[in-house]
Amino acid sequence: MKKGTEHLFLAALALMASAVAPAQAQDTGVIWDRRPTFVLGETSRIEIHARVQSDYLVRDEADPEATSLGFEDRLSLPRKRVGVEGVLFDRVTFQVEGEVGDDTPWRDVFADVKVHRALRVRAGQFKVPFSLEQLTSGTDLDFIARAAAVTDLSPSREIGFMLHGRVADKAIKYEAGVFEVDATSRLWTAGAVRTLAGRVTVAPLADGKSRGSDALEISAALLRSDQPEGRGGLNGHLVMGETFFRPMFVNGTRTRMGASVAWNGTRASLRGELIRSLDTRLGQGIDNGDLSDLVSTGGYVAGIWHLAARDGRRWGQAPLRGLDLTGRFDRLSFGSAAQSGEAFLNPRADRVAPIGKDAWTAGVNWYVNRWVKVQANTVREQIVDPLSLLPIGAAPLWSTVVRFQVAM
Amino acid sequence: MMSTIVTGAPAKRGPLNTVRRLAALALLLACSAAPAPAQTQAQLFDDTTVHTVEIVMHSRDWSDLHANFRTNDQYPCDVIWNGVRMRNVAARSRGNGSRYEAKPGLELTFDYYASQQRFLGLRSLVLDDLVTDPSMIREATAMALMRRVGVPAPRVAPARVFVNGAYAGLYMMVEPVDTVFAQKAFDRPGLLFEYRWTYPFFASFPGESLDTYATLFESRNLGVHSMAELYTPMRELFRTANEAPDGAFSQLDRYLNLTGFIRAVGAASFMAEWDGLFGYDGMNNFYLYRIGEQAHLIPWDRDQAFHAADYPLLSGVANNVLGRRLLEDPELRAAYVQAVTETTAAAETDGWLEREFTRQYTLIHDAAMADPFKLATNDAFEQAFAELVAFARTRPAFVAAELAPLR
Repeated sequence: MKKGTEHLFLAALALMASAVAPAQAQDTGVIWDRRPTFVLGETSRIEIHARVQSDYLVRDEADPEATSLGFEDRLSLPRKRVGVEGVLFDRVTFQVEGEVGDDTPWRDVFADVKVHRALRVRAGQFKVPFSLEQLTSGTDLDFIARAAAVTDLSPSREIGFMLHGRVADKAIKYEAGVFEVDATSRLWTAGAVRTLAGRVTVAPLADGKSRGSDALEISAALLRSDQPEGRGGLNGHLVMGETFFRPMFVNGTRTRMGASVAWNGTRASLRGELIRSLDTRLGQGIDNGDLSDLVSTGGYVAGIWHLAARDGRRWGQAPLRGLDLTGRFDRLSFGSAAQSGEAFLNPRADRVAPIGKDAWTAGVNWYVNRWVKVQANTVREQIVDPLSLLPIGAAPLWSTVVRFQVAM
Repeated sequence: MMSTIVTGAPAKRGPLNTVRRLAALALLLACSAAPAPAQTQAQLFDDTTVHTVEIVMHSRDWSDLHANFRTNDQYPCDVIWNGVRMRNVAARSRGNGSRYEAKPGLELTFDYYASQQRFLGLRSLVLDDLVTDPSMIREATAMALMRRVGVPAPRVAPARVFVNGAYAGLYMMVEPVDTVFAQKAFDRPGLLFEYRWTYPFFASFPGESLDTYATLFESRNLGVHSMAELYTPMRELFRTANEAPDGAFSQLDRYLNLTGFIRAVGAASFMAEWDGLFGYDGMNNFYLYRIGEQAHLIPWDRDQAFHAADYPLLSGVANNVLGRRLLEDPELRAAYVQAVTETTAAAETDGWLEREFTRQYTLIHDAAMADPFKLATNDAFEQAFAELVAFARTRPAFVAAELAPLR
């Protein structure tokens, strides 16, 4: 099937989905509750979910060939996911999700057991508890792309296990886990590369119900990972994927610290996040000597103005129900602990030249119905290269993408 | 060797940190008290001496560069030459058929990690590993002869190369053919292309698609250029070469500077170059520098020059569209004969070629004999030199006899 035909097919599927009325809940059997759901009594249910995102590239100034792309070449399908999730006996939740057509298809594959109301144990492959935005599902993001600091500095999914729960009347949420890189090929062997992760979220307005804890959340997270010798430093990317900062040689440990604030109001939402990563570089100088720590820092501030409400809160006129205006500023920068000596960009530089990127994003989100969302984002990116070491010019780079999402 | 640190020394951490810093400070003070004399490109390519080039590179990178010698992976290093320490340099394995694990050819790129960084005005420097030439002096002598007859050719000078203090062998430092070199040689800005051997190509018309030309001629230009800007004149060059009417082949001069082209192929013919423009397996080892629509030929890699004294003058010419049509045009054929004659005279006068072979051989002898990584044996080195001397003595007469029917 040609790509353009695929997109038409998806659009038709979305319209058909929107025409289906949700079924009444039953004690057992199969129902339609936003998605096909197998109800197995009062304490167990299994849901099938699927998500397709289709992007149309309007502009990408970082790619000189982009202007000559035809309609079909501007279309892409960044996500085609299907999965099941559910609850068994009110005690075990689970999720299995995969990317269709991907060489490494598995995404979230885990089981989560409730030991006590303040203690749950999760095991499998899932997102390492660190960044607020990274932990937010791609379906629910307010922007088409996550902030660069999140994409480039935060871990994504790893295999491991985690203890988590809410205490103090749900005002405090904790997550603490151990994860292993490439665990599928060498689980818990002597040379394993492990990450220890901890994250605490405080909801000062919590009143024992979830609504209160959603309104304001303040989080802090700490990660410490083994860092094997090699060119495994962090990358810096433009929003469309081009690399502006290449990995450095590292050896030792990687320590990541993060903090975030999120406030979700009725008419608007605000959130911000700061992330800092320190990589040790033992024995990585060109003379085999130690280098100073590689320092990568980033963060963002984002605001969402709900012009018209969605999901049951009804203001605004159809079809403009569910309309958001979004804006974000994000920054990502690289450097080193050493501040003396000449700064270079080679991967064994002791003092790493400061290189960064500032990005402004403006966007619109239109929630057509409970399954269909249309997003448009324009991003202005500016490389920060005070020593003029990169061959990239000083002019800002603009990119624009429109996303069509169907999720159930 | 005392070296002048032309860029700041790195601040290292570890148990010897303080001692290292004090030593670096003392070194800086010493250097500031007695500054090194200004260095020039002319000194770098002074071919009357065997230079010493020291490379400081992480030991693991040096191992990886050997292990991955077929890739173009870049490794950071410092380079020290004549008391000047150049930092923030990228080194990679280079070459086509000459790639050799035990003694990798190297390209040192000075602007890879910092786009404005230069070393004596150079963006890069080639260290030819000389493994395809048992005599180790063909490249230097061929380039010298070409410059002697007015062909813009890179400068070459021998160097003992040390990596992390260990002798890595005798190399030839070769001036890179880049936009800096080309603009200096032709005194005008233009676009540079490196010919990439991908299949036996004899200058027949490759077709309308510009992608074909992009495969054969790799753009070596900074900045962003469209395919049409880069390759439309290239397509017209080969269209004209193939489709110009008989008797009007000189129309090609619009796209290829025929004066420079004939001078270069005339010199290559005398030198029995069998892996060049009229190579045994198609065109090879050259650059084109295009000013406006007109391209200029720049020769490259002459490790296979002086192949044999009795190598036919016109070998490979008939198979190549450019060579065949050039000889079919009486005026251009006369120019070709003149170019070969002038090169022969330049080689013969005062026994220049034999003296040059002998001078180069004497210069590098000790460094070559001590080179533990060269592909040829010491006996093969001596034998190759003897063959070059014989070439210098007998080639002019052979060429004169081959030229006679063309006059």
